[in-house]
Amino acid sequence: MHIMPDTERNASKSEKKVIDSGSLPPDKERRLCAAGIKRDIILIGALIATGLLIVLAVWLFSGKGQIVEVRVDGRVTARYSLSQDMTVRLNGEGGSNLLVISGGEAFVQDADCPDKLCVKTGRISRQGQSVICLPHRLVVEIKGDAPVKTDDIDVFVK
Amino acid sequence: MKEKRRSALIRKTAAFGVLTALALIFSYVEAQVPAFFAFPGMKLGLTNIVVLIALYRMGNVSAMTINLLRIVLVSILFGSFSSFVYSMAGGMLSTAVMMLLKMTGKFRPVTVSIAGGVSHNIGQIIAAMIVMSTSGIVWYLSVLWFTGLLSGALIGVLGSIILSRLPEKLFMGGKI
Repeated sequence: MHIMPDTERNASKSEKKVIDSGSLPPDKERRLCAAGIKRDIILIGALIATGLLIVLAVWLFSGKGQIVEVRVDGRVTARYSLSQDMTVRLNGEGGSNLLVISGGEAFVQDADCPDKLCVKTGRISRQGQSVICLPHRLVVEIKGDAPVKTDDIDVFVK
Repeated sequence: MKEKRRSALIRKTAAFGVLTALALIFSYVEAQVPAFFAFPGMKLGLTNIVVLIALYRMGNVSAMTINLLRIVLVSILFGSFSSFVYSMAGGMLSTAVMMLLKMTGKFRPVTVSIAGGVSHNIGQIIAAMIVMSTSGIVWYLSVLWFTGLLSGALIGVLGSIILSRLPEKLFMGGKI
């Protein structure tokens, strides 16, 4: 009954050595504040910088798309031009989504899926962006104007 | 002596059960309000409070086990296979990152939680890229990176407050 698994015991042993700001004596806590906060700021700063770099990379490498491609269950069912305003009802599996193309942006305005994540995804206009409706197995993706390869079949796992 | 260790083990077992149950409830509550944020995949990550507390009060192995149990239980009870894959990828990566950062002993819980939040979303994006075999969603990382940062910070602040009020020995036995 009193046997503790080895790993667990080691973990709780090493626990003691680790600086733990939760409940330290006041002097130790103060020292941690002075010495430790610098490292924290550096790490958080690095994380923010990396995030900004990612945003920049996404911005740079994904130009405005030209084509709105609709796929149901991995098969391309329709392609529309992004520059032509239109509203079209897409029939996915077990339901439909209302796709609107307007002002060089595409978005799903309405859908009868339970989660409505496709509606909440919002407007897309850049190459590689997509609106996905998993319940209907529907993907709306922005493509560039280069000839589109269609042999990359997407796999959906529900 | 024997008696002491036994009571410590009993206390730890009880704390383990309570924390697992709490993580489960947080997951469930959060699943009930899926849409109060603008972007899909954006969550507050309430369960991360539990993982954070387990990490600092019960150790690495316990934190990992509680999170693992939570993911498996939630998926069996209310989830689907795909939600299991996503939570597994996110949960395991973030717990691993948080464990490693905590083990260096150089960062405070808030920072550990922020790194956990970001890595959780990285894990989910990677899983989504594999499951849907498309790299097209990688742009979405730019959004989820910052939502992860933000929710990690919020959870980290909350968790630190709770940690500073929880007696250190509460889950490990010994005098409170």
